[in-house]
Amino acid sequence: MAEVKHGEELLRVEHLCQYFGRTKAVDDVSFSIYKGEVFGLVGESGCGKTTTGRSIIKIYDITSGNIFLEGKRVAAGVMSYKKAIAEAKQKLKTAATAEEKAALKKEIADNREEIKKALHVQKKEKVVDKVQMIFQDPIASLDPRMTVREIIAEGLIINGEKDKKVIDEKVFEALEKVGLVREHAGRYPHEFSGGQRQRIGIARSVIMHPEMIIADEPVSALDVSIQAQVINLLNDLRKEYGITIMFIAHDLSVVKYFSDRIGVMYYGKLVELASSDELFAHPLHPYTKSLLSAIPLPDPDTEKNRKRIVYDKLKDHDYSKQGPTMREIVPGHFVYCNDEEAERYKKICAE
Amino acid sequence: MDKILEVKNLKISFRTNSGIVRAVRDISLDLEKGKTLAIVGESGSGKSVTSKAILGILAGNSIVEGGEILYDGMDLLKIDEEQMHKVRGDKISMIFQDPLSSLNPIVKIGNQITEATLLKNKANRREARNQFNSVLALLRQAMVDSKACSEEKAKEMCGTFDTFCIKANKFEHLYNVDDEVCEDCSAHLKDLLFKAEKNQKQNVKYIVGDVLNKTGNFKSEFFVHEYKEKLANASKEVKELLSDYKPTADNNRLGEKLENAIKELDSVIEAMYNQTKPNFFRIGFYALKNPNEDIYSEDTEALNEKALKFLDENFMLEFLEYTEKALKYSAEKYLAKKREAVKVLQEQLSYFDGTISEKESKARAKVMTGAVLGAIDPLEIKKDNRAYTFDTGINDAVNRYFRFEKQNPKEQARFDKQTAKVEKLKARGKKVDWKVVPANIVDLDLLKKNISNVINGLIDDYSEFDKNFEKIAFSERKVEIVDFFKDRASKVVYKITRSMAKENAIKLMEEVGISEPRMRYNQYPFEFSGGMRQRIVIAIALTADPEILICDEPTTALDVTIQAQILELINDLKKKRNLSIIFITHDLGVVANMADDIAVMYAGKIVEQGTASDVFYDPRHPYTWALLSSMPDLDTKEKLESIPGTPPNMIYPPVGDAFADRNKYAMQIDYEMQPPMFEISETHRAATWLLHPDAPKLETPAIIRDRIARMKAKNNNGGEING
Repeated sequence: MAEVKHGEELLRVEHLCQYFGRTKAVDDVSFSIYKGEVFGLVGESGCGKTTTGRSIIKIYDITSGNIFLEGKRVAAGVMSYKKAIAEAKQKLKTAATAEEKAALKKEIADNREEIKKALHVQKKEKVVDKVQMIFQDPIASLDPRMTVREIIAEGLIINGEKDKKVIDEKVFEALEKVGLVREHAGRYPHEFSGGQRQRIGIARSVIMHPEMIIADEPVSALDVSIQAQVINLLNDLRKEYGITIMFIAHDLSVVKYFSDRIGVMYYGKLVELASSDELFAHPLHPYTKSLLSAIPLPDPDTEKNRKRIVYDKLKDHDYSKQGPTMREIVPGHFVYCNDEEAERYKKICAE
Repeated sequence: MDKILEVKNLKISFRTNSGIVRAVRDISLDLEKGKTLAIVGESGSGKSVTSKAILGILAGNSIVEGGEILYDGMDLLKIDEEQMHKVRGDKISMIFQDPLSSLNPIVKIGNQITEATLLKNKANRREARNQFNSVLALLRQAMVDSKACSEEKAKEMCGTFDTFCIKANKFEHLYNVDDEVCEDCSAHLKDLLFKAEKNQKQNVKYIVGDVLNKTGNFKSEFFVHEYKEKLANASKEVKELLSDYKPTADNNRLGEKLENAIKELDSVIEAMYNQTKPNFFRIGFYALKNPNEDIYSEDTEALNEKALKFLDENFMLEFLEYTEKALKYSAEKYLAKKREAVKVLQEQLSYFDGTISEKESKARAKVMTGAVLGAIDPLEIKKDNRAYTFDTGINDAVNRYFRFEKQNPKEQARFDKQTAKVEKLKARGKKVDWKVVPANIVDLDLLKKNISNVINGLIDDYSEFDKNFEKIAFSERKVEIVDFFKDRASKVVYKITRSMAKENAIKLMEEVGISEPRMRYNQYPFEFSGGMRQRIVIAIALTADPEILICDEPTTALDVTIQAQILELINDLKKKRNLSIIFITHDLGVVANMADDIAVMYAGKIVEQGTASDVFYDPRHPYTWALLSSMPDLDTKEKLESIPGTPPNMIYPPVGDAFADRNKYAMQIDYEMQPPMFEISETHRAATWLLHPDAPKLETPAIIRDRIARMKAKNNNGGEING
């Protein structure tokens, strides 16, 4: 059984919702990331894992929920407050006593205040100097017209660094960190191979000395041999500089190898969250099981006899009586389920 | 084993601004029928180039320096565009790496999926009919010539065979169509019942109505006869109850009566598609000769027996006897012609040793081609590749020689100028770090040798045939030829209507993981996300029903669940349609699932080749080791062994082993000489000097040894997966 010992909490996501019109890309997701760990986020394409990462670095304004970085609220959504106001107004129409009315009016006023605060947070708070992102496609994410030096230094310059010497020094430092050499600074992205380009992307993200890096499928576009180089590099960076990494990927073998804790997402919901060994040893949610059964392994005999478990929302759950919520089955192992399922899972774990 | 596609000594280069890139350097591959061959390697190793060469879609700056790709009596490298049209997409189909650009933006998805099926179906039927007729006519002539029977008798027999063969297949086709529809209907009903139980909203009236409509329109008398009444009763009851059915907002359940009625209908349908299938080939003949008998109401088994006896007594035994005689006669006749052809070939061969002139060479090639084509036995079903490709092969080799013999004055001028420049620089004591691209990039001696190789190859083939002639089993070949007719006849009657094509497309869309396929069938490509579009493209490639499917990293951009789904789908189709697959990928996990045989490519060469278990459980080449140890599996804890550096620049291919620079086990000889292919077992070969008897004995790296041991232990424990 995995021990539950965490460092300081670095990032906390509370009831994050991100809606695009009627599409609920991320729906009520909560989790924490601790200092120095690698948090893996897996799920099929379109399940909202990338959106979660992008919401955290505020590429989108979130619809509802809060995001805290080192205890400070950095992003907030207003939808939940708006909903509360609408409900209170509805009640106000039918409220009988004066006391009730007063209470409801106060509620509305409070919520309006919250909205103001949230909007302020949304506009003013910045996370980019503390949280950086590495993108999936190393070709598309580097501007072909800029030299490597310009690409890497851009963040510094935007943040007000003017001294050319300091910039150069920092760029060289970042290049060396990721295993490139100074001479590379003057070249253009097209002169590099795929793995080297991804290194440039990593150098760009580490130059600001971020607390955390969000790596959005950093190795999916690379060859196997190069993949190993990049994963080893990220591992070194984390060990040497204590950078916390949120690792978004769909290659489960890589996530398993790289992450301390893993969250599994399905259609905008977080369905299971556990330490990586625990998750792979005792997958509880049927979707996780189906996901694990689909991993291709370099072993022809197992592969030829493999039975993929198919996840069917309707067949696997009975939520007609009680809807599911996130529950802790064993310490550190959360599953999205209802009471009846929780009992069942607890029994499985006890065995 | 039945080879369906052979790649022999293929060499491909690309002419670029900075020089000639040697992309594929002398590789040979065999693809067996119904098997999957996986080509594994990094990007730039030449795997995609090989597959594109097979389809004849190489980029304009490519040069095919040598080699052959043999398929169905053709050399795909040498046939003209007109012939290639018949092969590409039709017989050999491909799923591309980047499918996003291969959809037409202004045509609805549904039409794009069904387009190929409908167009191809028509052409296929026509072609099958032509083949059927021409081979049957040849057989008839051979029967008469061999004096097996009189001309009238042969005419009558072949006529009867034609009629009943087609008739039988028509029966069978109708039956199969109904059977498939029936299975679908049952699945729809079961799904409906399940969803209703879970109180899901659905369009019950539409679904049930659709099923009733389909089951009311069965065409095969064999299929419905026994169940006609039952089906009518059950349908009637459902129809009556359905008109009263009114779902509310919270209650989508069916109600007891309707549910029971639907269950009853489902059980009838299920019984229908579980009934034993009659043997239509026999029954076709029986029905032809006894048109007035009511064959539908008879018990299937009894009818099968009776029809078999009737067929054997009245037709088949006699027909087979004549066929055997005819086949033997024809083979003997063409054996004599083959012997003559060998003589002609040997006479002409000596000419190509000395200096040759273009006019003379072409005339001689024509003489030889005439002799060889005349010696092909048209009644041989299996096409002898060499003889069929002789025409294109020899002409191509001759043309190529004379095309390169002519000096290109422009190139020559450039070469002279550049050499002069280099000399000048050298004279001034400067270092020159670039090479002069030679004016003539092709070796003329080699090209000349290619010509005699083509001739020699055929001579060897024919003398081999001559030697083994006594061993040919004509009793087997007569069955083979009847099977051939059956196959063609089934293709002749295989008519796909627009609605059938639509149903197939929707089923396939569902299989590749597109939800609500009925709605999406009428959407345009821009309404789909990237992953969805890729699935559509895969669906399109699969509907074309090819013989060989080339998959160029089809699932690289998809997530695991969909990847697993699509691999399963490809595997299913492979079994169902006896597809042969070339699967190109860099993901070894995917390969383990799919491949029967594996070829590992590096820098344009095959470094290791073997069956899946050979390569995964007993890897020998350091590059295979590196590939295996650089990917984590679920139990990996140690640091990954990444391969240092990048693949070599193929403008200047290394003299020795291309992998030597990145190989920590490299020896001195690896830098000096190309390692040959060492045979490890009958199926397993690898090109590394480590396998030379004089090389130091090296153990497989620990990380791989451990993993293999772990995998074997796991497999012995009953194949438990993922803990």
